[in-house]
Amino acid sequence: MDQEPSVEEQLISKEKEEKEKKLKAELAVAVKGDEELELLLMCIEDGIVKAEAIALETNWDITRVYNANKRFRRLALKILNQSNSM
Amino acid sequence: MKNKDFTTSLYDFMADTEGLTKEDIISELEVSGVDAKSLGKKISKLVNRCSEDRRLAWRINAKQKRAEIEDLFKSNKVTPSFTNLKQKMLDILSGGYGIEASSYAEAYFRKKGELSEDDIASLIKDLENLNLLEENGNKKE
Repeated sequence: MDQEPSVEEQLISKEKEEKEKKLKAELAVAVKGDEELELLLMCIEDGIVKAEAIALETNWDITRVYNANKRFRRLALKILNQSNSM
Repeated sequence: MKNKDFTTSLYDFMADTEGLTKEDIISELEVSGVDAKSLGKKISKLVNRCSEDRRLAWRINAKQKRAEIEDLFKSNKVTPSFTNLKQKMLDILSGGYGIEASSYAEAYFRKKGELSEDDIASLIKDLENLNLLEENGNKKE
């Protein structure tokens, strides 16, 4: 039997949703104009996070995936560190 | 394909270090404000302490076990009087100390044609210790 979420749970869920939206937006801005990183962000949004799976999805060779991953990580780390320090 | 939220996916992606060199990881840690050298030292210290604790725990357990067995043997004093020995032998052979003890005793007698009082005392001591160990093992189970 499904129970209605409590007011507190609803608030937490809303806050989580907002944070997620903000994080996505910040990442989208950061990767804008870089085709590889834009594609990588789309993969992550779809839950494709392993290098091999990304290579299959994008048709890139694994070295290209590794290099794109590194560049994406640098940007993401900056954004995550900023949002964690707030 | 999508069955988890974006934040989880992003953290899963960030947690996967495939394709990263040691230097990449150190540099990422530093960007996040972590002193990689000091972290490495702390981890190595922790690992050493844990492995030392584990080694000592093994020794302490072994020591405790030995003390328990020694106590068990000490508490079981056999009076070496002949009547006592004779009665005990009859008890053992009638199965009073369990089937294992009686078959052990039977085998012992078959091997030895003649038995001295010391032989019997030593055999009884062994069987009693065996019995006590079995009882102790059953209690623990």
